[in-house]
Amino acid sequence: MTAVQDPSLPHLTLREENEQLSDFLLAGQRFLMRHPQASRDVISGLLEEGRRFAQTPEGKAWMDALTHSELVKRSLMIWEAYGLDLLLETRPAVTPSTWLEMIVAAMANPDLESILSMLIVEEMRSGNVASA
Amino acid sequence: MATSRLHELLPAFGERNQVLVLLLGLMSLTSRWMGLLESQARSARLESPLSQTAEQADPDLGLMYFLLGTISFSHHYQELIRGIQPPPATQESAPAGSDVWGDLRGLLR
Repeated sequence: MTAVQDPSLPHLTLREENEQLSDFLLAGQRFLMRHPQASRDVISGLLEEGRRFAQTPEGKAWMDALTHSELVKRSLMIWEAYGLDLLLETRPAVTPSTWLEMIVAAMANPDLESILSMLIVEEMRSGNVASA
Repeated sequence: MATSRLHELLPAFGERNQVLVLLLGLMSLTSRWMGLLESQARSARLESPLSQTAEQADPDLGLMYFLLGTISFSHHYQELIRGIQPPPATQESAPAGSDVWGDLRGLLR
């Protein structure tokens, strides 16, 4: 069944919608709590990448446009609720795009298999990885 | 890019190469994310034609850098994926009647 929505009419927001939103936000919060280090590394990496991108003309244009977006302004509530501004103090040397370039370079390396084998053997020797 | 069409291609890759599925999934995610941000940027420009000066804007730098980081990463990722050429062996082992690499190249163009 398809409902025709008239934006001029008042509308009722059902409770279930808020519950879905609550569930989503709670899931995000739990993810951050369960994986604090991984979340911190990913977010601070993206922050650093954004900081560098903001120095470019393209980055400045994006920043200018998104600053005036209502949706972005509202998303600030989520950002602040999770306390993610604290990660601004972290300045990782490697950004996600740098990681990506390194992964692609590794995939193109003809010695990839032997390098991976050597790494696994070394990790097993050092006790970081259990042997099968 | 037609991300729904991209999703249709995923099962064709599925059991053959999980790395490719991961790459395509990330491609789909970055495309959707960029689509959302581009539409936000467009509508913000239309709604605030006079508010283009820094004095009028008070962006939260943390959130803004994070968003810019996702944009930069998405651009970078999509460029890299578009640059990937299919190995001959993969084309030969594709299921009969399908040309997933060709379809993928068409989508990424």
